[in-house]
Amino acid sequence: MINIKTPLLILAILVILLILFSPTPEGLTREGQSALAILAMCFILWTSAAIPLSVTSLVAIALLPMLGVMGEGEAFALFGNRAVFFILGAFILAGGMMASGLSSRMALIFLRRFEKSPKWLLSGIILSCAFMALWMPAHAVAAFMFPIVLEIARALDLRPRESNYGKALFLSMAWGCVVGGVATLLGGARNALAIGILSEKYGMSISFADWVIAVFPVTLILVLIVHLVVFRFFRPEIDDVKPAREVLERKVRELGRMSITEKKVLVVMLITVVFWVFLSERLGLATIAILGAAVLFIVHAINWHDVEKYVNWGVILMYGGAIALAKALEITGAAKWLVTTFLASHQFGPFALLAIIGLISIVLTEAMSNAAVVALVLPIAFELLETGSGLSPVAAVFAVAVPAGLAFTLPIGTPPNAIAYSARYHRLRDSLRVGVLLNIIALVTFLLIARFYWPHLGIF
Amino acid sequence: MGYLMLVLSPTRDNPKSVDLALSLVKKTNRPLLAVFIADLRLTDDISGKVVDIGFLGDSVSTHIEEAVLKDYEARGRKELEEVKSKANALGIECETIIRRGYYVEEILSIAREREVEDIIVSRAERSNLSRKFLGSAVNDLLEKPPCPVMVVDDSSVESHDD
Repeated sequence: MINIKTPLLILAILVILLILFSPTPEGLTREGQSALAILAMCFILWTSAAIPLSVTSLVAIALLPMLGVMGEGEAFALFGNRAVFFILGAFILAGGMMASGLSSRMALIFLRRFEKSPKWLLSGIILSCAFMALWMPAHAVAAFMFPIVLEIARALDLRPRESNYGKALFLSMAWGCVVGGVATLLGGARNALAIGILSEKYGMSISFADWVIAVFPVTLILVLIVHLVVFRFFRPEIDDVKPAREVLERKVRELGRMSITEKKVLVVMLITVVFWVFLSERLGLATIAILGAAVLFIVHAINWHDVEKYVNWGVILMYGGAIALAKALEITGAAKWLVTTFLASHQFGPFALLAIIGLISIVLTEAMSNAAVVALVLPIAFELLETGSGLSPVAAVFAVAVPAGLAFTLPIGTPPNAIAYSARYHRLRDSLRVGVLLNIIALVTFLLIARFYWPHLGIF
Repeated sequence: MGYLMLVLSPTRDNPKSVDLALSLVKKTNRPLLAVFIADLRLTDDISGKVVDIGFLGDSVSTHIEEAVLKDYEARGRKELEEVKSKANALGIECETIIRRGYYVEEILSIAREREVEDIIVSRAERSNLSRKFLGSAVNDLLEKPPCPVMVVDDSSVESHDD
């Protein structure tokens, strides 16, 4: 095998050098040129994952002061952005749910209500994944649901790659997580990242409740559509799920009664969500997240060992670096230069602009991490607003972050797809064929919600 | 007389390679060694996605890897049983081995431990370019074959006697 990571790493270095040593184009500052060079490097490395995503962010944040784009203090201070701390708190809370076993218990209790027939069971998987992804990162949901679904598939004696029901089980899991993950700020860190970039540029924010009110209808419709698509394209060849019922019964029995730790985590999580919904504008999303995470330690519901097992600290580097890059593109005028040079001749109306931004985001997210899409597209989208389209910055945040979360097709698009594919119950062509259709329907649904529902909320 | 080793693929069905192995051992009157490797290369990839892109801790990726490998092993046991019963029905002596590890390393190790004379492996039909860029465990094996290796593609059978 040719190691393609090394040539891509060399390509990223060559591209950054090429841009840096080219003559500075008219209208662009030297600092702006350096920021664009870093952006190009990040695009190559985030898309190819030639080095871990968080390391790319780390390199970017080190290059910013080195190339004179911004001061060292300013660059590193962006790691302290509120969005980064919100994401950190949310990951620790999710770690608490997984470590205590609360997340598995909730999913199993939910699933047991849907064990009547093959279609009901699929419905249970879609709904439980979507529901759980409202409270914790979608990929964490896929991670703890995966062994349950795998055991169900094995108990039903489904033939990998051949059984329609086997394909449906794993794709339902992945797609349930994906559609649930866009509805709240907890389902995907990209949502909080987008708000972080918004507040750095405009000093504006979107509250937890406002996000849910704006996006939840998209999730509701997509949950229904995922049902229809799965039932239509993967018709179950079995008519009894008794062995699956036995698996679920056994798993619930093994869990035993709810432990004190689970109860503590549940109470802390519920109180934190209530605070996010009603007090986030007064206290701040990040403060509440960090306070919730701290309370988990204070009541001895988790310890550092648990957190280290369930959270990868690269999360801080990734999101801190992404926010710093976005800020650099803004303050150096690099994003503005890109837009005025390449897109100034096009005048878009607000809906057309929303559709273009959404389309770019949903296409890119199939090939790269959701967070990377937000980090690369949102700063440019904000500059596009300045061309007089009339689209609000808040609408632009939704237009990037929501489609960026809707990756249905490829395993590289998002961890839930990769986790589902690792079981090899479906082939790549199964998720490609139906995933592209879901991408189109999801984008159309998002645009219809924006066009007809958001005007009532004053977003569009 | 040495074994003919049939290596079943963990990611696809192997009807052609099974048929070829059975017909060859029947013809040459040799014992069959059917092998299934729960390949760690397949789970390394998922682990990278969960940790590097999903930002979840090692414990989560280990949990997923373990679930996947257990499932592969369960499939492997079932497929090996099917091969064994087919072989027995034809009056062929058949031993089975299931291992967890890296595909090439495990095959080389089994070939060293047992008296293996020929190996049959299965692979999907895809371009050489895709094999070069995305990797191919079978290609890696062909670079250091411990004995003659026959590769069964979806549509053809080619022999590598190097």
